[in-house]
Amino acid sequence: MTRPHGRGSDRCGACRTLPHIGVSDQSRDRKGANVLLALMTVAVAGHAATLRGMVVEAQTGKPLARALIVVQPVAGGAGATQSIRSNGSGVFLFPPMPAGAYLVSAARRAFAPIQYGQKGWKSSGVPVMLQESEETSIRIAMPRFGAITGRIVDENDVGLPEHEVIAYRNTRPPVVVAKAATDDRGAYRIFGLEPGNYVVRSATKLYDDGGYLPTFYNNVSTVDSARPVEVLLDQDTPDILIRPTPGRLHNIAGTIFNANSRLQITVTLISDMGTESVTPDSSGRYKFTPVAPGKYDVYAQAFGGRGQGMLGAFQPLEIERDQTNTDFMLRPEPEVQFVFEDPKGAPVDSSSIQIIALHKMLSGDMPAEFLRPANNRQNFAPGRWEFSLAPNAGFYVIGEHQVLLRESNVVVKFVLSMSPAAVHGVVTNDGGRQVAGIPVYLERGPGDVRTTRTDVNGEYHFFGLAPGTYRILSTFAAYSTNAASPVTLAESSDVGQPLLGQAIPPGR
Amino acid sequence: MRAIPLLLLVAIGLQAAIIRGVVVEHQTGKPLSRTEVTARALAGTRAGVLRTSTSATGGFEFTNLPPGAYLVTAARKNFATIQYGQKDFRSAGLPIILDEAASTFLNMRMPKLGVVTGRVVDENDVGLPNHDVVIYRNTRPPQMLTRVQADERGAYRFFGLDPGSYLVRTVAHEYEEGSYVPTFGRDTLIVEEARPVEVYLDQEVANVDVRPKQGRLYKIEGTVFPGLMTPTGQPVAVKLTMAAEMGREQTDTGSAFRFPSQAPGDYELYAEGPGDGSYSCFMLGSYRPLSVKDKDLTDIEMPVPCVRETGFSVEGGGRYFNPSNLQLLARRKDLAGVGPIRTMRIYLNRIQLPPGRWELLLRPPAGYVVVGFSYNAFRSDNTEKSRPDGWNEMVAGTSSGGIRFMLSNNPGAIHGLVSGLSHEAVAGAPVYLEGYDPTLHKRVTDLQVAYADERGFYQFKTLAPGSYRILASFEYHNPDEAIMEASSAKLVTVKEGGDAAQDLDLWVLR
Repeated sequence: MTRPHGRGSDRCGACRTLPHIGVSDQSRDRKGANVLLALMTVAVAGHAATLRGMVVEAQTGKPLARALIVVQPVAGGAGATQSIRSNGSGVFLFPPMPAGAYLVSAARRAFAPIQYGQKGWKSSGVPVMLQESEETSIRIAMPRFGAITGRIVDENDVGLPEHEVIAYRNTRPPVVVAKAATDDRGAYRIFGLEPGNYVVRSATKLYDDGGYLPTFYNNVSTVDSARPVEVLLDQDTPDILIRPTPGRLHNIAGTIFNANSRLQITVTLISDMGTESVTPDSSGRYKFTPVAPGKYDVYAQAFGGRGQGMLGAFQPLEIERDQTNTDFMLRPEPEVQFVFEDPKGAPVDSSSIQIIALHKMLSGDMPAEFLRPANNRQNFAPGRWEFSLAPNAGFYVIGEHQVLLRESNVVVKFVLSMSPAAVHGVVTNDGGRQVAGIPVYLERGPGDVRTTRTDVNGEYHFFGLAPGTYRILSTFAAYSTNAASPVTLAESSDVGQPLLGQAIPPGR
Repeated sequence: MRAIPLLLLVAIGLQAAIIRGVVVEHQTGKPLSRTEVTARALAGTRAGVLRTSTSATGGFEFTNLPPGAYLVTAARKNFATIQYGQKDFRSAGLPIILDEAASTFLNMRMPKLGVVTGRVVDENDVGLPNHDVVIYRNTRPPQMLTRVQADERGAYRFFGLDPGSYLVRTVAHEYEEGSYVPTFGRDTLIVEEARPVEVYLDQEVANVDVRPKQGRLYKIEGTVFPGLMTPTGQPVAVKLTMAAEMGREQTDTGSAFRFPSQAPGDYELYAEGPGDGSYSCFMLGSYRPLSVKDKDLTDIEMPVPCVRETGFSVEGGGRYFNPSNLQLLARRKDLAGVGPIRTMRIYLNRIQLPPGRWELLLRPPAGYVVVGFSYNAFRSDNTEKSRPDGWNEMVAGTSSGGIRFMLSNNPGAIHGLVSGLSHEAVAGAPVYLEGYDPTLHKRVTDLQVAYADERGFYQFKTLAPGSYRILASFEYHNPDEAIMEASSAKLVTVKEGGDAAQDLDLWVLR
């Protein structure tokens, strides 16, 4: 057993910033020399290829028992997708399968899922070529997710126990990723983090005589002056110490006016630090734990029986002082009608259209809902929603669709162009040979990147695109805008765009 | 004009004593803010219990104190509660004697409670993520304290532990790829082979790793049948608890339920739900013990019928006792230990006690003591004998039963003098008293404490008749049964209406 590449040696400069994932020497045990064995293999498998290997922990090289390994043929290839678990010593052996190119991935609880041959967190796996009548042996080193550790302390550097700490992705606005609570020493550890930049914040905390305001690392109140924390795979980023600012907290309370005592009402307070739900008393009064100044949303929800369906109410708040009369009337949830038109205003057949609904909350987006509403109408809880359509070869959508739903019904109109553009081509390497299973990236603008992989013949295809200039790149490494080349797509065009695949030499 | 306020000040200053001080972390000397400090006036001092909270710099102050003897205590979460003048963690504090106008400054150093850390690992020493771990006091049977979840590396941490001996055990856990049975550190299924962990103040015991053994777990699934429907025709949801010696699991359901798979062993299921008052149905409840052997339990049928209220009467000398002058405390007892204490609502002569094992304690009105307890029901198993003035154990059923307490207005008492090595009176000495069963060798009531006055005189009033053990010592502040035994506590029998005299020698560790 060898230690994973790059660790302990300084050969690999990139390993410092982007830990070396996955790995290593793909060895083919050529058994042609051993005629007898080859004959046996042929007899059993009928020219089939076999794949065996071992899964280890990247940090220590210890074998990983019971990891899940999945092989998936590159599009257009013969075999089928199969999965298997490593045994107690981390070893796995797949039953014989047709020769060809396969993507191999491994997963285990608490480890970052990886593909064989993946060089960094954002790069892609390299297909394994299985040859007829041969056994291929691979070794997969699984990295752990990153973690942030530190302490929350008071004015005397004494740890504050049971204080909640939140890690946000360092975006604007910041997005909640994970939380942790401090132990008896005021120490916390937020784990399971993807590599990247984060900001860390201690949550509001109420004490008998006052409270602590939410405070970002390094002891500042606003996200813009927060010091970003970089997280790498297989590493703990230590010593992120926060000394929360003491301050006054405010009360949020109110009354649900039409609170029928038989309704089960939930009132929820949402902020960028999380949510708190309470049940009003018999007179409809509700009250939350005191909060720090800032932006909040209050949602109320109840099931009004078969007659009324779901009832709801929504109120955004800007808290600077006590706000104890945030009152509501519960009303039936507003209905959204979806309308589909072409650019000339003519209705479009919507039978094959799938709507994606995203409930946007201060605490982060809820999981996307995929809808095909009857009559293109559906009720939604009041609040902020974003609607989009699943990609479709027949059209592209003009414009964005963000809606603030209050009490009244709303019409959301999608204008669809029925003449979308497409781009396709073959990816070849330096030697002019087609590259199977290589990722191809198509960027519309910052953060709007579509991706696909080439099939066994090295071909790729993107469709349902709005006209415009895109950047396109084929690589096993992480996507980079600068390395991509521009391609301009006109309405209704299907542009042929051959690409040179940027492969990474294996094992380096 | 100016002379008058000055004179007044002097006058106040002459009378009042002051206790000032600072609370710091013992290991580091850092000031501890927001720490609760209590000054308790001892018998003969004209003051009660005074409380304050330390400032940001750890300082505290009690002013305008009448002269006398005070016991000063500091308490903070995850720290050992300390009394000023304590020799060590287990010993009692020394009272501070203040003359008129005296002022004193106390430096109180708080040690942190103990910590146990370790990892849950698989056969290759790779951490098992999110595995639950339980810590027990190393007694027979082991007494469960807390349950924590290991992180993604399998690392866990128990904190806030009193010094003593403990056992660590992983809980049954089922992953997609296999299951692990409950395993004690180090790597044994049997409590007798478990390795004890000794915990001290201000110390962290690290590397208490456990490698859980792989093994089969069995399903615990079934259906509850609540005896009541909602207005819309749905079964009422009940709170269903499964208790085991590794803690409790809870679920709310009106029909099907499924608990995480468990290793073979004994379990208890109990349910509680709300009634609607119709047909005298004020609550739903049921209880059943469960034994998991070698097969899945997938069709447990658990009716949760309306529970009849339990009759409740208190008698003594033919007198009627208004329930509002009585306090009835109840705590559920199950395989995981005793649950939180609830104060029972008494509706004239009935209480609502859900089925299951319970312990009941009656706080009688002033001047009375509890001298008798009985429970009778259609099917009543009065379990282990307990003393009426302590926690009374019983198993409540679903049919209507009756609970009866007997009171006496003729309580007993114990009094005496505490003297030291050279027979001098010991002022402020703590005196500990426990109800004791000499045949079972067992403590049967909660521990009481009194302090000797300036002349060394102590007194316990309103005691129920029975046997007691009594000890005077500065060595302990909360002695358990074993300490009482080892310190040769005196056995005293109290008779109804009797006042037992028992002088005590101050117990000193040598």
